[in-house]
Amino acid sequence: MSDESVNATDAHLRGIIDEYMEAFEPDPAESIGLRERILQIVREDAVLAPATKLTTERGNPFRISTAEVRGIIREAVDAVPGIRARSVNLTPAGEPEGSAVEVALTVMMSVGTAFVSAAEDVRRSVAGALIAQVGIPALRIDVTLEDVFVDEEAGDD
Amino acid sequence: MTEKPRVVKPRVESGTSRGFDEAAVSARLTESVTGVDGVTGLAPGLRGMIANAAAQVMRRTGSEPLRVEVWRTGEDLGVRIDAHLDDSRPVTEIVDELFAVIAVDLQAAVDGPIGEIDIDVHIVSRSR
Repeated sequence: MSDESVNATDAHLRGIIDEYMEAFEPDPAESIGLRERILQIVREDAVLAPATKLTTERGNPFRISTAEVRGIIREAVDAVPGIRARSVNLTPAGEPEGSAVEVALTVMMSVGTAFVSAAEDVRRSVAGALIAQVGIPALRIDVTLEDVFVDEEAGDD
Repeated sequence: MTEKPRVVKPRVESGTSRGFDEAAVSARLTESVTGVDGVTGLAPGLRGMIANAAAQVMRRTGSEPLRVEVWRTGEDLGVRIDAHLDDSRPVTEIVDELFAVIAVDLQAAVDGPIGEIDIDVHIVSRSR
């Protein structure tokens, strides 16, 4: 859940907190500011676990943990020989919004890897993983080379 | 990533009202949702998060059973699912099935007319 969506659901959260507190009957001394403290904790927890809002092909909206989608993309990038993922950013895109994503990646490349062809492999791998695992197409995948590393394992072969 | 603010309607009715038994509908939806292939379990929803936060603040033990949250506002219905999935199917395929299952269950469980159904599906994790 993103911070924005938490803001949007504050009224709903407050309703549930009120309902919950009725069942609890806290001591008067405890109840001062209790609701606000509970709301704050829930909001903080939500900020720690952001979600991305997507939409299925049939138009059904859903939210998915951003970390899960990043993990799928990261694995697809690392599957390309000579390439390692660094940062992964995704943005809901398409019409309706969230029916596709745009991905921006930074990667490291091993010495001797041809970047242009490797970047194409990365795009194919990421696009395939997003369709196969999430069910959402990628409209755009930007790959930025950020660093070069010496692949010692490859050198040992 | 940006999210459009959702229209949030205040909860004006809960519990049993006008042919709507919240607990019974929630139990029915929980059974149906956890029976969908690819759903491995439910995660704490808003009630669960609030129960945990309240327990923290009041230094008490407290928890809410994991369940699909459902509420009624006038003729409109709201459903919230916080689910763990496995990787046996694409996420969107599971989400579409969840929407279908919920629509069928709500039509069967609610007496009288149903307005808009707002279904909030949150995929918390996807295990391999």
